[in-house]
Amino acid sequence: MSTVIRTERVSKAFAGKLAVDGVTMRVAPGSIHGLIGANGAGKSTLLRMMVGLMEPTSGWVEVLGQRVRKDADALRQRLHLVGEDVALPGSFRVMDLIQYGRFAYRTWDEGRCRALLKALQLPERAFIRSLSRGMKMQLRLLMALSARPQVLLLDEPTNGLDAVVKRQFLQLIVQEVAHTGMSVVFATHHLDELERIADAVTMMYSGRVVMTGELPQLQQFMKRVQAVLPDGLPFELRQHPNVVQVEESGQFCALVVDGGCETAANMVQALRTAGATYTEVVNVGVEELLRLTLSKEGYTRDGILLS
Amino acid sequence: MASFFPKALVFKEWRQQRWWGLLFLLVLAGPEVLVLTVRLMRIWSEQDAQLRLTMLEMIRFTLAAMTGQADNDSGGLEYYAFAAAAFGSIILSYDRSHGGLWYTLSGPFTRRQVLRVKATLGALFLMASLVVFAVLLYALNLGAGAGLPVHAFLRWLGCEALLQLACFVCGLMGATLVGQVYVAPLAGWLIGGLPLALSVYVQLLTGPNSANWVFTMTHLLEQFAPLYYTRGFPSGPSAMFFVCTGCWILVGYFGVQQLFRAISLERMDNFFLFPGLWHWVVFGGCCFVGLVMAEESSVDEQVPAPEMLLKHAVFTVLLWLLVRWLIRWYRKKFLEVS
Repeated sequence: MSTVIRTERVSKAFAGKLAVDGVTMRVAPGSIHGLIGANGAGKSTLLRMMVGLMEPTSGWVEVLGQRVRKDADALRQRLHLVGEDVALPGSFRVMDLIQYGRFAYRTWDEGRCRALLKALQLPERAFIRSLSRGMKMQLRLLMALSARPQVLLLDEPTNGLDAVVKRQFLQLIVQEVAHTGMSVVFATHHLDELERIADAVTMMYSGRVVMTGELPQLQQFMKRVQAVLPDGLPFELRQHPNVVQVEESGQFCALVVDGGCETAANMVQALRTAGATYTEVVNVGVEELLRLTLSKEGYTRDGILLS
Repeated sequence: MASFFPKALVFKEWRQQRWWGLLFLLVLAGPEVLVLTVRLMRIWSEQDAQLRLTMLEMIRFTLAAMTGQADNDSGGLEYYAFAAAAFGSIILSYDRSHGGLWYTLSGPFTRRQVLRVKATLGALFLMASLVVFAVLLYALNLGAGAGLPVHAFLRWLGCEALLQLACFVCGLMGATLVGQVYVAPLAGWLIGGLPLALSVYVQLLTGPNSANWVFTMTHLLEQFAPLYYTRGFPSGPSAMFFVCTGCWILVGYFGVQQLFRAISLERMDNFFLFPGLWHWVVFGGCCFVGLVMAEESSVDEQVPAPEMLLKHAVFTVLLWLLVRWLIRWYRKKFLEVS
């Protein structure tokens, strides 16, 4: 089994409007796979289809070699969704929910649960409704990791967490992947944290996958070429079809070019011919990659100037 | 192999439902507990007669208001059946409206298991409270010196249990059709009274001089409504009662199971969980209003059936077209994103 999650032309329509549109993606075993995109891109819907909470309108989802259906109870012993909109029962105390987990999951690890309870400093006797948003998310993670799933789906798990807890949270995920070989799909808007931990990324826009692959491979797709040009950037280079973005500040200019390393090398050569005294090629960060890709897809927002 | 009653779900439902169940028990058996307490007070102390009498009057008034059966000492039937339907709908829709169903279903359980555990625990609560209620009533009857024979009491208890279960299933059905937690009990009651309403509809349509077979049919139809039996059994339970409650419990539960399985979780917040229901509900409402309009527009009381039918059809169709247009206009104006 070379993939733990496989989706094939998966679509989901709500009232005739496509929220997910023909998504085909693969998640490798033991990897952290980031799912990124603008608001309403269809990330959460896709995760819900992976866990069987929603049924695709067309296409199919396969997790751990099994087709996901509505009553995928056996599969959900090995697959866990952690998401904010999956509400925990507020009338339960923390210890009640843990008891529920003990009964529900055959692979429940009591030692792990106790260790996490201590590390996350969750009050056992507190009612869940009295916990803060961040604490609830930590409790969800505790439940998920104590059940020792083979696949963990995280839907914006770090929303509402402070910087210290966020770091602890991400460390836990990375540790778990390293120790148990668990696979993680991580939908988030916090691209900096994704860049630190993800092995692969899928970018979505308007329900479609606009880019998917391993992170270094995606970063090869776009490069930032920086140069110092005493005579300024020639017009033909500014209008070059591979130039996605131009930033200029005095003699310094930075061009983001698509088409990979070869195009970047050609651009460096062209800049030198145009009189560049200094040139450098650097990788584009995930955030910039997403912004530029979305911009190419037509998703832009003008800056707001308040008077 | 999947467990028939997963321990985790039983635990979760017990933790969530026990207070509802207790509240249900208190609301239902509360007045009887008070009456019994006062009667015990009378035994223990013969003093403060005025206070005791006032309390008794108040309790009698409460009972009468709740049950609508002031003269019937086995009161509580009507109220109890409605409460059973409400209880059925609440145990299913409350969890869902608070997002808890997402959590349960994202765990290793099938919808069938979830429904089974909810319905079984709910029915157990219902039966337990009925037994407490019945024992209290029996004690009150004994205290009043009018004790029922045990076999009559047991027969009453059995019939009452069947009726409550049928109403409970109606409540479950209401909650599988309507997503709004406060409207779902109403939907349960409407479902329980649907055959009764249909019977009234046919009677109104055919008029007072309808054929014998129509009369027989409408009479049978109304006996198929669980709410028909909330008036009690003046001459003992009929065979139709057992057929009706049996069908509602068994076939109704099967229907609920199929409906619950078919609900799309993304529609959990919708008013109707199955969008196609809108058409039927709107059409049904138009039929009723159309009939009332046809009745009201008849100057002569003895309108022939064909003429009545024609009037009814015209009013219904006109009303239906108007309502459809209004719904479309409302959606276009307020709901559609341009």
